[in-house]
Amino acid sequence: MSIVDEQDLRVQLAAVLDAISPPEAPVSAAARKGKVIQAGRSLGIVSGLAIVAGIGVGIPGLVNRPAVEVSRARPTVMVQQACTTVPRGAQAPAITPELAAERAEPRSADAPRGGRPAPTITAGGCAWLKP
Amino acid sequence: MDSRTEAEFAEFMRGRWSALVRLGYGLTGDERLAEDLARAALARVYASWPRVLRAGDPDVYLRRIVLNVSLGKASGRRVRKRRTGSEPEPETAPAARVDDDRPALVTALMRLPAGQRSVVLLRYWMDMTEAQVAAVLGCSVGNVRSQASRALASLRVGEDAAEELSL
Repeated sequence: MSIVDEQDLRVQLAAVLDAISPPEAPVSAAARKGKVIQAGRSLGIVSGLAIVAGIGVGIPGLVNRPAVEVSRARPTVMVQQACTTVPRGAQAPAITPELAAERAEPRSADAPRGGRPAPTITAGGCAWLKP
Repeated sequence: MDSRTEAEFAEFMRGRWSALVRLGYGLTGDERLAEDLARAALARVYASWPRVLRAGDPDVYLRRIVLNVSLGKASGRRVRKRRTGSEPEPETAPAARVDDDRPALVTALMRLPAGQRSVVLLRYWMDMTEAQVAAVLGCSVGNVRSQASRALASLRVGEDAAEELSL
C-alpha cells in the first residue's frame, strides 16, 4: 500500500469500499427494531412522568405539615415564698407590704381561648438584684 | 407511523443501505459488523423518523448515528474485554488482526484512532467538505482539518513501518 496524496487516498478508498456488495436492505427488520426503540422511549417517558407526578404529590405533603397551634393566653406566674436571706454581694429590693401582698396572690391573665392551656410558672425561690 | 410514512422510510433506507454498509466497513473493518451497524442506525432513524424529516437533512442525522453507534460498539467491546479480566484493547486495535486478509488500506485505517478514521471516510470517500464533516461529527472545521492531516501522516508513516517490518 502506498498513499501519495489526498487524491490517491480517495481513489484507493473508493476501490476498496466500492468492492463491497451488501445484501438486500432489511427494511422490515430495521422497522421492527425501530418500533421496539419507540416503545422503549414511550415507556421511559411514562415512567418519568409517573416519577415526577409522585414527587409532586408526595413532597408537598411532607413539607407542608400543619403547624401546632400556639396559645395566645398570657402565662400565670405564682410566687410562693418571700426571700428571707440575702446572698453575699446582692442587694435586696425594698419590699413594701403592698408589694408583698401583690406577690402573694396569683396573677392570672386572660382565660385561654383555645389551643394549649396557658403555662403556669411557679417560682419557689427568689431573685436578688446584683449590686 | 402511517403507511405513507412507512413507504417513505423504506425508500430512504433502500437508497442509503449500500453506502451505509460500506461506511460501516470502513469504520469497523468487518462486513458483518458493518451490516449490524447500518441496521442499528436505520432502526434508530425509524424510531425518530418524523423528527428526522422535520430537521431537514436525514443524511447528516443518519451518518452521525452510524458514527456514534460504531464508537459505542467499540467502547462496548473494550468494556467487555475489561470485565473478562484480560488487557484492555487500545482504541485503534479492535479490528486489527495479525492474520489479516483484508485490503492493506483497511488494515491501516483500523490502526487510526476512531475520530481520524471517521474524518478520512467522510472527507475522502464520501467527498464531503470540511464544513459538512464538522457538522456530522459535531466539531470545528479546524479540528476536522487537523484530524485529516494527522490521519494522512499516520497512513504514510504506517506504510513506511510496514515496509521496514517486511525487510
